[in-house]
Amino acid sequence: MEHNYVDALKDNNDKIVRELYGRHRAEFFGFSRTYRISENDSADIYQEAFLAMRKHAISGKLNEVNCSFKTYLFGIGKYLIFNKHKADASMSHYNGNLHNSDSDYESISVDITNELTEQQRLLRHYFKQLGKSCQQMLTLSFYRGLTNEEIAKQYGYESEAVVRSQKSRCLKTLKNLIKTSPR
Amino acid sequence: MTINETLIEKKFSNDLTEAELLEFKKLYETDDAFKQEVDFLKNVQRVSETEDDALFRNQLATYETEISPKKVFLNSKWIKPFSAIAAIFIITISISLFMNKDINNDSLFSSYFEPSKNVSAPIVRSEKDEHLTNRAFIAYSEADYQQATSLFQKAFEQTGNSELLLYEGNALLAMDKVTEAIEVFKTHLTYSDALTNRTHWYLALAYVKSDQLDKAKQELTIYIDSEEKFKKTEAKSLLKKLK
Repeated sequence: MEHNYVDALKDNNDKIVRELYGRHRAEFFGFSRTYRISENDSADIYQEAFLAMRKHAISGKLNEVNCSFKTYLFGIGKYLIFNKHKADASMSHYNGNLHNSDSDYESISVDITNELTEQQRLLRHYFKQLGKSCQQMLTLSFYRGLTNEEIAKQYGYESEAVVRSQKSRCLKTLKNLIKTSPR
Repeated sequence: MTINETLIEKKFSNDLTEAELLEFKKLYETDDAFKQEVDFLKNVQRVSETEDDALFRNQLATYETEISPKKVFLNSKWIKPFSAIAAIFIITISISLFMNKDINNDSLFSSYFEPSKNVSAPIVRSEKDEHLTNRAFIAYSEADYQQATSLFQKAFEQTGNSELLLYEGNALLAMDKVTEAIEVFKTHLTYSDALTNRTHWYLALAYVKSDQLDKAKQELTIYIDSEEKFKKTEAKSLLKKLK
């Protein structure tokens, strides 16, 4: 897959992601119409497909993929469209013929994200009380898996050591918030 | 026993060698403190993923709103001449400011710094009131910064009210304890409360005082871009002088 697009998703490059979103939107809406998906639902599914692609970019899955960005996006979209039909079918009559619609895209499955546990929900409450730069620091370190050196280089910190001390300061603050909470 | 932080860091950036992975697994099974820290960080990972996803969803929703309803296009024939005029204007301003760059940082600091007013907790002057926060603000209002610093520190430890860090930093700055003030302001910036944005302003002043002008400019820019209105004009004028 196009490396620059994978990097743009990982780094949240607004300019490129915006451009990709606009570039494939009309065709995706046409594609989902062939599966009798309304315009509103198409927008939701298109955005969920982008989010799933970004997760695959961050986890490194996209590095092993040979198809183009668009093929992968539409493959995920197709999977989400089928899921939507299945979910709707549980409430009304399910039309199996909908899955027979011809398309050039293989369906690509997406992992279902588990809901947060009670402990994680509580932690999220405190995480949101951190300053923006701390939230970003912890996200870059623990979710996006960047090393201290990468964070320093990409986000303008003076050195790896500055990142390390800022990260430790943020974790300390988070633990303090939990410790001093009235609960 | 201290926790092996490097091993944990490498684990979260998928950077462990086979030998390190074995060590990691062994520690996770045998060392309670290590396991506790890793489990905590796994929860941080999951929570930050959720928050990051929410931000990305908002970003996509913005694109959708921009595309779907009536889109307003700029009349492009004016863009080029307007950009050219703006560029000339910026260059002229930059040159004139560069010529007047002889700045005395100490006097700049003095002309902009005044300790923050107490906007967090009204003082109760009573012999009975033994609350640390109240005593801290009384000392602060009487410019007894030495006493105020120590009381704010204790009050923060006791209550966890992060706003107090702004005043502690101000008290330190008023006593010219710039390095310590910077540390306290940086800690305050790890929180998000009603006064966090204001700390960018005071941190910028502390950087001016300690001749760290690039950092001062960075803090001022963040401050000016924030929604905070307090001292906004002063921040803009100081940034101009530093450029």
